[in-house]
Amino acid sequence: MKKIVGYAIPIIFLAAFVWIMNSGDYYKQPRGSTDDFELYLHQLYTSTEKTQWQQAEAAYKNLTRAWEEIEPRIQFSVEQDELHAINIGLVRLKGYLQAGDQKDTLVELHEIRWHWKHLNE
Amino acid sequence: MNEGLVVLVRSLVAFISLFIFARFLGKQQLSQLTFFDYVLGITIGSIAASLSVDLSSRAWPHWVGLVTWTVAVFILQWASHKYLILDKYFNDEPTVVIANGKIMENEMKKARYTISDLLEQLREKGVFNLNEVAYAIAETDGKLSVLKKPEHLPASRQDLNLTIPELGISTELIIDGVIIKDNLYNRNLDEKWLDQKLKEQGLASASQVFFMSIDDAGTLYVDRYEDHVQKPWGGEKGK
Repeated sequence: MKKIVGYAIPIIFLAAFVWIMNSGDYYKQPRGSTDDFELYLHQLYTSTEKTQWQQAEAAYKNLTRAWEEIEPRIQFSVEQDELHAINIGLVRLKGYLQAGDQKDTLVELHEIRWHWKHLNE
Repeated sequence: MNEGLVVLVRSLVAFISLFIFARFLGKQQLSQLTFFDYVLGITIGSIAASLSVDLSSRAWPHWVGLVTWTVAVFILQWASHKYLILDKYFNDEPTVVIANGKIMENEMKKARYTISDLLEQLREKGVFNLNEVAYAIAETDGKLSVLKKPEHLPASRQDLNLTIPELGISTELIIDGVIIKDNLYNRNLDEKWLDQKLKEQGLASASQVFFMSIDDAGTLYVDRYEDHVQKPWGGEKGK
């Protein structure tokens, strides 16, 4: 029994570490109705394409709120630089939306989506 | 992102992983490490350090590196134990640097072992004259084993035909003022006996004793907290 516990404890620890270090993809998924990052990204993209700036503003607010919920969950398993890139992208996006700049908004959205997809790679 | 918290979690992951892997790799003493073992240790430590604080990349690749190096070391250890030929190949062989009192220059050259290294390690062994040495072997962990010529070896009890009773292994009875009761009972002694012995030493209780042991011949070694030793350089009395 003592021997089994002696082996089990380190195995449990190592398994937990593997989980923590690879949990990014799992924790990126929405846990509730307010943290669906991909959905809000898509809404923002569609609104921008149609130059519906009011809807785009609302989608942007939802997007940043979702990101604020997700970021603490995934911070242990992803690159800090990737998180930083998304944060910077969101700030830039705000400016482009205020200016009603469709081209730069779409470019920024594509970049954010790329960082989002490659967060746990 | 809370960088401090991330570093804390990653450091715990690195620390506990390193601890588990170190236990997994066994109990090789630091003094037995070859140069390659030493380099492996440094590399594994360096990867663990990156895992802990290098936030520019994910923790996972660092951890995979840590596991890979640990498994590689384990395979090397396992193969060395299993096959003697591989042990010689991986860990090298000891080099005879002095044989029959003669320095083996060619062997030393192959092992990149200089005369200064030899003289220094001989001095560390208390040998200041090469004429005293019959054999010297540079071990794989970098230490030097020396066999002196018979005329320079100290006389043994056998040479002098002396019979001296064995002292045996001493048993600790008091450590840092605390009585080690298990050891006392294992020696078929009791606290009453201990009190008596303490009184004979002029001590009121075990709390005045830093260390006390007894050997097989029943001889006591007692070290008090109050040592009253005059320092050789004439300072205050030591405590």
